Amino acid sequence: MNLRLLVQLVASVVTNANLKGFFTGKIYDGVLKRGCVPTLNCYSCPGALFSCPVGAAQVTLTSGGTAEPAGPVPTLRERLWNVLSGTPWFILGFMTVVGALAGRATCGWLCPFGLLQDLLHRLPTPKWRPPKAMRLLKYLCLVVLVVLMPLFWVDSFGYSEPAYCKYLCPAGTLQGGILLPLLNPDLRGVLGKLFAWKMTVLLLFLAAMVFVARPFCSWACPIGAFLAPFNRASLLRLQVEADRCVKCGACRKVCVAGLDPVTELDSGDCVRCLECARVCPLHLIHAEAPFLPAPTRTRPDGAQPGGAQPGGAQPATVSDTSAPTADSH
Amino acid sequence: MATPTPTGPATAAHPSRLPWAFLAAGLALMLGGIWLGETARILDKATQVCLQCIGIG
Repeated sequence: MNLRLLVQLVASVVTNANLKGFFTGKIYDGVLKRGCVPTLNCYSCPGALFSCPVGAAQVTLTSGGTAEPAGPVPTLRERLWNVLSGTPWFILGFMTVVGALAGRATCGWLCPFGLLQDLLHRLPTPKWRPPKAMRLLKYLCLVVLVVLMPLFWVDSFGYSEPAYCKYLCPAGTLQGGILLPLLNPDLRGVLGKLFAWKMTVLLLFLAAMVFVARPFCSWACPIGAFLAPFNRASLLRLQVEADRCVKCGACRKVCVAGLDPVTELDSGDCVRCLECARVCPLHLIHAEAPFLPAPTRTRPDGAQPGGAQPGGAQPATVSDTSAPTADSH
Repeated sequence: MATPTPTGPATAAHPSRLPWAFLAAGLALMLGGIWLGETARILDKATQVCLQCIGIG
């Protein structure tokens, strides 16, 4: 078992360590739920110990501000307070800290739904690389379903809904939507069209996971969409010594995000799993960060990977998606 | 000897101050959220089953 799989398993268990809930059908209601995990993990799962940032952000947006108007018309101060207290600052800050530290590494190393996708994609079937344009869908999910609809799609009573969780999130269906009705007979009676829709979405994603690398992360995860830009501005950086690459294609074969690491190392879709670094026969891909030990490998010409060469020139590295390659593996 | 074929910007282009700025901004936002009582509201919601969220209702 490789290290990443072990970390993914441990993270999934720790995130859902309320084992009692799996037998009683009741969710955890302790203080740990004040905080979030940096991954998609439904807090309505009987095992969840922490809140999901997507769910928490939406309930903060849907519940609005905390000011109680003194009169029939809210004052300017009350309106301002409502905007301030109705914005999910804590979640925004938490996810910004996560992104600034490691970009999307939490997707590759800690996310239980990411683990599920990795495992299903291991099944020996033909694989498909969908058009890259489909990866833009996750930004649409973030803006429309997580932010705009909870803010502005209000019913006649003035209430809005956590649209992403309600209409799309397959993790919520898998973790809570199936388990809770199984454990609570009362809930089975209220399953209806919405449940059928959510089960359809879940089954479609599960099927896609077999043939496509991390389809949910690529197309529909708002956490991935939020963290994606940080891949270019995080303390954790990946570098490839492109000048020594022999174009063997080993990294491309194992990339869990379906990318070509030599040219797309800092792509917003990279989940920082480091599988490419693990399989590179020449050890040309390096992860560097202030909180990681400095690379110790030495190049044949005496220069340190990612550092200055003896002659004072910088090594050739790839750190964005605009770099063309000599061939396409 | 093969000629090196640079295919991207050098390491020196790394915006080294940007992650630290994001880190500081993120911590400030977290503290602001706590001061505004956001974590208590999250706890209040997250300790109840969101039936809509799991496809019921």
